[in-house]
This record gives sequence, structure tokens and C-alpha cells, in this order.
Amino acid sequence: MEPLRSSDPARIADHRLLGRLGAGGMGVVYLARSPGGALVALKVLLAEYAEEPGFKERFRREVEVARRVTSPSVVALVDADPDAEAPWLATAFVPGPSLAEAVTAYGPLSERGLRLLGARLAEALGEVHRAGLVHRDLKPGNVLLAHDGPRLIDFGIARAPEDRTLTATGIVVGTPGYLSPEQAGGRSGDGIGPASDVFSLGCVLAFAATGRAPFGSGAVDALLFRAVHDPADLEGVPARLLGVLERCLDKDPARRPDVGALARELTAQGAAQGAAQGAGAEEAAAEGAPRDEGAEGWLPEAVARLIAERSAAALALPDIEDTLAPVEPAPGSPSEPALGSPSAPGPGHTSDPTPGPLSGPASGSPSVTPSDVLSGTPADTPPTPGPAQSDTPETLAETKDSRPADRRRFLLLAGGVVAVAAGGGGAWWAAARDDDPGDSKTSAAVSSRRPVHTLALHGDLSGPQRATGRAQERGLRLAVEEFNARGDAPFTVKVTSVDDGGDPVASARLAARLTDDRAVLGVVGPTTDETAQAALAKYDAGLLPVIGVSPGSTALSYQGFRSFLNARLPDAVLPVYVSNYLRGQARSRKIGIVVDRPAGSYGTTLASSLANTLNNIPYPSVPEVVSAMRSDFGNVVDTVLSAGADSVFFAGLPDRGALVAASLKERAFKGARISGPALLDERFLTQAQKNAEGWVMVAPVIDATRKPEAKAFATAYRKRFKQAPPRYAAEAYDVTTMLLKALAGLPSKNRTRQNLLQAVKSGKYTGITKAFAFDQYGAMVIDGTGGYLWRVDRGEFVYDGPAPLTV
Amino acid sequence: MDDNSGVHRGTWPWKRVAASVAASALVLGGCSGADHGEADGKGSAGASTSAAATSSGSPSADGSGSSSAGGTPSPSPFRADPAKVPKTRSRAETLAAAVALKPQGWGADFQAQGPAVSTPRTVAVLDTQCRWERHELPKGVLASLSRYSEIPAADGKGVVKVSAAVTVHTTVRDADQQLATTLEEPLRCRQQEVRTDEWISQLISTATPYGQGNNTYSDDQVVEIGKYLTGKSRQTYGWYVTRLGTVTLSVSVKGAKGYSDSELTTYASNANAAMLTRLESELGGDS
Repeated sequence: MEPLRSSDPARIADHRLLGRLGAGGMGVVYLARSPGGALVALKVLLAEYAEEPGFKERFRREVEVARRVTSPSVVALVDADPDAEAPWLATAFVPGPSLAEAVTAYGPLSERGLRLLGARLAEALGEVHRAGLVHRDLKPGNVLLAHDGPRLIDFGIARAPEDRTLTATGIVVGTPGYLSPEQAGGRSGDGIGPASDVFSLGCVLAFAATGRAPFGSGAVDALLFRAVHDPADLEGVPARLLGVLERCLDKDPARRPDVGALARELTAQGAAQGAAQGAGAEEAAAEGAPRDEGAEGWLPEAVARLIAERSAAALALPDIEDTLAPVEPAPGSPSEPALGSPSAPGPGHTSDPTPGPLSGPASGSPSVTPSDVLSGTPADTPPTPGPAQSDTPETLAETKDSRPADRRRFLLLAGGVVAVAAGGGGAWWAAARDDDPGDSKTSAAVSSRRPVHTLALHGDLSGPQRATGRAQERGLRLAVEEFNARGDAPFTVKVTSVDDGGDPVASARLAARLTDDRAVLGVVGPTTDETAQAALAKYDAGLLPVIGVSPGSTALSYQGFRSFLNARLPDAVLPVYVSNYLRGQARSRKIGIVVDRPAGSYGTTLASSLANTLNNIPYPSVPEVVSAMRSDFGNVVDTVLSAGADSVFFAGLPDRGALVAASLKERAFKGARISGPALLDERFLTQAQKNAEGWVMVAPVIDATRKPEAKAFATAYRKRFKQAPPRYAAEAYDVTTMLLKALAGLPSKNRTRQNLLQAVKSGKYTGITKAFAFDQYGAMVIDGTGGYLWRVDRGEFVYDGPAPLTV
Repeated sequence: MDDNSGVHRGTWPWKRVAASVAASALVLGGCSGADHGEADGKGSAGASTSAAATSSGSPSADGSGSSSAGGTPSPSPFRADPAKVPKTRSRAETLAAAVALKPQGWGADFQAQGPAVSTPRTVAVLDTQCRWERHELPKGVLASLSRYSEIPAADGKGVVKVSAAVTVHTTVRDADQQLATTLEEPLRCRQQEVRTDEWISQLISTATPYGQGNNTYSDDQVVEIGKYLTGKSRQTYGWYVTRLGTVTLSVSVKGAKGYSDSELTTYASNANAAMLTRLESELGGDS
């Protein structure tokens, strides 16, 4: 447990706060003493969200659900006030660890433990389903362990199957890694029924049996993809449970058992087995048996001891009359082991809808629970109240805002990429760029009596990626001009364009300026991973919706930036197409993977994603990592080819790509040569010249002149800008139109950043380039589309349409 | 931290190193769009690494001395006194022995494993069968030393095994190649056999050259986090390779029952920082 911070109140609705159990995206969970003296986990919605009808409604719903569901295996709602200025709810405090924490620290449960866990959770879900609801977020972090059985927590996203009020269709809600295929596929609300919870239960049991999430860990989009397409990894699951788990994890919801049958099967088999082994008396887990007896010894001894310790420590917490803030015993004092206790619920009590990397897949990741914070030595303890769930011994910059965004903020800073110091920079406000006819139209419209709202383009308009940045600027302007020209437009849109020159420091500064300009309701950009990484915290601080068109790093979406939506298929997904292309069309038998270190994480992302994809098949590949100090690509190529590669995937950037191309050409290499979106750059053509012929790129971008749906746009673009639309112009046009449509759909008084964000994030939009839908993290819902093939033909990039989804 | 870290330069590197390593771990932990956690592992009984034993046999250019060969000289956080950079095997062995962390350098709870050090004049190499073996020093490596320590099992907790390795290379390029090789191994071998019935798998890598991320303290760093598998046990594995000039430092930590990932990260980052501090002290330049 973390101590309270100076910004925390001492009491909430007569509850004395004792410490922080965790913080999520929307609120904070405190350990508190109820007016009656009981320990409770008290969850409070942040004021900034409480003002938002959507969030408040969601909170109210959570309370309602918790009230409707009563089960010994569901953590009990004690009290709540969803209508308070800061809405709160209090549940019974369970001093045990979450299943995630326990399995990660102490290993898998026994078969007996698994049966009890499964049966009890199935019974609890039965109650949920009987109440007409679907839990939708069953995962190891949402299961707390008590000595007599598990407790299901967190109904933050539970709802009735037919209820679409909270999220529109196409949105993935829940926690990747434990989502059913129908959830992962972003299926509409009425497709997510009780069977979805059964699938998640299967995942949870598999995790409890093996210590691994059955669809692996790692990038969220990959998890979602695997949940839909891959068989579960059940290696290590006790043989007698294999069959039932396999049925729970059936891709077809109709073929999964219902929770009632599941509970009976787990219990009956267990009892039979126990009887057969002569341990029947103790194993009497059958219905009607006293819970404590049936559950005795269900947990590994170490977990049971941990629970006992934490329970004991909970007793030692200050009672109602104490007025001082709780004092943490000095680390190293004899009571130290107990110190960890109140934090036991760990992530379980948070209902963070936007878990950062920390609370990602519960199993394999070196994730950190709040209790881990306590394990540091005194020297490691941050001198000031640190971010809620950090485990870093270093207090990082920008601690002044101790709002819940801290954790996000921390992660960002820990990533080290944010530009904390705003310094000089080569960027300039491009408001002066109003030198084109679009703005005169705008001014004309301004003079009429329509309200005016501003959209901004944040891009690299003068630096290395200026071609992409400028294309986006023009795409945005065209969309805005078309909107303003409509007779029925409910408001007029003004465009502001800022140029960061590709400099992250400038990017952060410009983002702060746009955020401060309250007239700006939405932003398209930034252009690159680096400039986006620097800017997103600024946009987040003002909840200014920002939609990325060209950044490809998955990491941007999972650091918890609330206002960022990435409208591009991320780099990590593209290698699936590369694999399909090489194995299929290109008939490669062994794939050479050249990873160029100067390409940084772009290169390692593509390469490791491809290597994993191939290894999982398995399919032969030969990797070669090239240091920035080397430029002897002749040797690199020789190495890969002599190892038998008959195709080459290059994970790198254009300049050195040209060197690889030259080396392959010299060796008259006839196999497929393929790379990612970075090589779809004129610099590759100019530097590689003839050596570029025949290279193929997988990229998330279309050729608007070739895709039928984009024809009208291409014509309009040509008319307006006297040239064919460059890459990323149509994509920016699409997201701008999506923003405007969402904004126009809001009543005039509700046209705020927050409402716009929510509308876009929860909506679904079909543009000329593709369909847009976002998951809870603001990442594109992966639906198999969005990857395209390009090839170099006679010195030009030629669009070859959608990349292959299968071999 | 009973060693000299934090002594001759206040708390300089270790806090930052620790923060960075922690950060890497975090990034690795959940999102790092980069990897899907199914690449694989690395490691060796003692985790000295494979130095110039590149799988590729790529000629590790014969760059001379300790300045970056061939390429553009990159900025560096540290300038060694050229006279102190080892050019001979014996000087390199002395340096490695002075820097490779002994049990007490890891903390009071640690003691030596048996064996406590690697076979002299060998390096760990991941062979074509994805097994870690110790080979004779290849061309380009002057010395390599791994020291193995552990926290013995107690109070229901398992044994935490750690290693600290120092490899002194002939040139910066040779040292640099070791990090490329490190990144390559998980791509090549999804599962790596450390010794009979000991496996490393699911390694996820992040590379942070100097000036990127939080790396203000070394020329280059690769952090890989994965799983350490023995019998039915499945623990966290952490592997940190850091380069300063011609020297690469490696730290490995194998988790055990009863230890949280953040404890393991703390051990690793403190050890890493302590070795960096020692190395700088030995090479005695101004930074």
C-alpha cells in the first residue's frame, strides 16, 4: 500500500482513508475504514471524469451491477454513492493477493486448487449471468484470493449483452490476453454473451494452471490476433482438466459449456477423483459442503501464509478514532513483512480501463504490483510521493501533478523519451501558412454566424518526414474545406497547422501550445513515433483528441495517453503480412531477416515480430543484426545467403536499405526482397536507383489514385493541389472527416474535446481508405485489413492493393 | 550495495541506470510494441556473453584501438584514459577481475555459487543447436570473466542465481558486435538451453544506445527479459548487457520463488551500476 498523498482527502463520505491501494485511469482506490469500522476498498471517480456524463454513467452502472450480483465468490459491495460530486463505491476489503500476483510469485495452483477456483468462479459468473449481465473483464488481476476461495471483483465494464449504450460497435473492451475471440474481434455488443465470460474463465484457469496466459503475452494487437486465430497454449495443464479447458476456449461461443455445467463438472470430477484417491472426506467440495472445509488447503502454502500475514497486518491498521495519517513502520523493522499486507489487493482493486504496460498481461511480464513498491530498500524509496505503481527507485521529473495520470506519465518518462525540458527548436507556428484559398473560405464563413471550431494539423512539415507531414496537412485541409463548403454545416472549421520539423522537443512545445488554445478541439498528427512520443503527454493533459495517421509504434497506444487514437495499423502487425507474402506468393523456403540497428525500435519491432511469427509456425529463418558501426552490407548479405536464405526481409531505413539493395543486386540475388513502411520513401528510390527494382514494401497506406473508393478524393485533391494525392493524404482526409462527423453529431453546447474524444473513440467510421474503430486504448481494432503491398517498378512505387491475409 | 558504487562519484550512475533498467523492464513488460514475448532467450550458466562469436562470422573489422572503427565516432558518456585501456590479455584479465562483481558486491545476502567463476579464457557462446557453451576466446576478445553468485534458499524462498560478467574486447567494434549478437540470439533461438534441463525462453529485447531513452551512462545497452525454466519451475529471467568503450558488462538474474520482479530488477540494476562505476574508476578518464 502506498501512503496517502498530500492531495488526497483524509476522509470520503465518513470513511477514514488509510492508504492508496492503486490508481487507475479514472480513479483511485483507497484502503479505508468505514464509519462502522470495517476495512473497505473505496474507489473514487476522479473529479475530472465525474463531470463527464459518460464516465459517471459507467460508474453508476458498476455500482448497480455490484448491487445486483450477490455471491460468496463476488466481493461484496458495502456502500456507494454514484451521485456524489466525486462518486465512490466501497467493497469489502480482501487482504489476499490477486490470482495474478500469487501465481506469478508462487507458481501454478494444484489441480485441486484449480478445480475449486474454476467452480467458484463459474458459480460467481452464474450469478452475474442470472442478473442479465456479462462480466467481460475476467482476468487474473480481477480475482482476489482468500483462504476460503476466490473473489471476483471489478464490474467496471460489465453490462447486458444487448446493451449498446456504453460502447458502440467495433470496440474492444476488456483486457487483451483474456478476451474471447468475439470480444477481440470487436464484435458488436449483442455478440458478447455469457459464453464470452466462459472463454475468459478458461484463460484464467489456464493461467492458474501454467503461469502463462494461454495466448501469450506482449503486444496487445498480437494478443487479440492470437485469441481469434491461434489455438490456446495449454501445455502443462493437468491432463484431467485439459478437456474442459479446451471446451471453454472453443473459438465458437455456442460450443462452450455454460457456467452451471462447468461448475458441476469441475466439482463432480474433483469429488470423484478425491474419493478415488481416498481423500474424499476433505475433498467434499460438493454443493452444500461448508465452504471453509471444501476450500481448505486449496492454495499453495506460501500463498496461504501470505494471506494470513496480510490479514494480520490489516488488523494492525489504525482504527476509526486515530487521527493521524497511517504511519508506515520503518522498513526493516520486525513488522516489515506485514507492511505489504494492505496492498494485497494490488491491481485487483483498481479498475483501470487503460492499463499501462505495468498491468498488461498478468503472467509473463515483469509487471509490478503496488506491493512491490514496498520491497525496495529505503534508499530506493522515492523522496516524494511517487507515481502510484512505479517500481523505479528514481523519482522522475514532473512529479508536481500528482493526478492519476501520474502512472502514465511515469511510464512515459521512464521510457525516457519525453522531452521534459522545453527548449528552443526549429519549429514555427504555421498559422502564417494561410496562404491558400481554403482559408479565405474559412474567413468568409467566420463572418457568417456559425460557431467556429479549430482543428489542428501537427506534423513534420520541414524535416526528414516532411513529405508525409505535408501530405497529411493537405488531406486535412481538403476535408475541412469540403466540410465548410456544405450548406448545412453546423459550424465552421478553422485550420491551424504546426510544424515540429521532426524535432521531439519542438513537438512537445507545440503540443502544449495547441493544448492551451481552447479553440482547438482536435489534432491530426504528429508524423513520427518520436514526435508523437514527445507530444502525447501534453495532449493528454488537456484531453485534446489527437489522431495519429503515420506513427507505427504500438507502444504509443499502451502508455495510457487518454486522448490519443492511432488510426494506423501498427508496425508490429505488418510482419504477419510479410510472412504470408514470403511463404505464399514469393515461395520462400528460408527467410533472411536483416535487422539494422540504426533503425532503433522500428527495426527490432518488425524483426522480432516476424521472427516470432515464423518461429511459431515454425518456418525457417535466419536473422542477422547489423550494428550501426557496420556498413559492410556485402558481408551481411553473404552471411544470410550462405545460411540458406532465399528471400530477404530488411528491417531498417532507406539509406542503408539502399546499401543492402546494392549488395543483393551485385550478387544477382533473385529471391524476394521486402521491407516495411520506412522504405516506402522517395529516398530509397533515389539512393538505390536500379537496385530498388522489384523490392516490395508492406505498409499501412493506400494509393488513393488506385483504390476505387478513393477516386473522388483523388480527383478533388488533384483539382485543389494540382498534383496526385501523395501517400498519407487520403488517410489524413479520412480521420479529419471522421473527427468532423463526430463533432457535427454533438449538440452545439456539447462540442467539447472530451465529448469529441468519446464520440470518435466509441464510434465506427468507414472512410475511403478503410474502416476505423478503436479499442479501449485508442489503438486500431485489428480486423485483418489495413496492410497493403507496394512494389518498385521502373523506378516508382506501385500500389498492389491489400496485403495477403493468408499464404 | 556495500561496494564502491556511489562512492567516488556520489550516487551518479546507479540511480539513472537503475531507473533506465527499470524502465526497460516496464516497457518490456507490457507494451513494447516491439516484441511479442515469444522470441527467445539467452543466457548462460554464467552469462558471460558471446563476444565476437557472431553467428554470422561476419568479419569483425579490424578497427584499431579503442576509437570507433570505420564509422563516424559516436558521442560517448565517458572518455577513458587511453593508457588504461587494456591492449594485452594480462591487462584485460586484471581489469575484468577488478570489475566483475563478487558476491558481496551484490549484497550481504549473496554468496558464491559453485563454481564461482567461469573457466579462464573462455566465453559463453550460443551454438547452432541453441545451447549455451563456453568456447575459447575468439579473435577480438582479450579477456572474459564471469562470476556466479546466489542468495541461498531460506524461509520458503528459492535460490536466486545471478552472474556478473566482464568481457574486454580488442576494439570498440568488437565490443559493439557483442550487442548485435545479443539482439540476434532471441531471433535465432526461441528457446535456449543453459544447461541440462535449464532453459531460457520468451526473451523480449530493448536496445538503448547512448543518448536514447534514459541512457546517459553507457555507449549502448541491451536489456532482455524472459523466462527461466527448470523442471516445472518458471521464473523471471533478466539479462542486461552494457557497453562502455571496448568493454562489455553483463548481468543476469534468474528469479526464484518468493522474489518479485521488482526485487530482481533492483538487484540487476544495482549490480550493473556498480560495475559501470568500477569500470570507469579503473579506466580513469574524465567523463
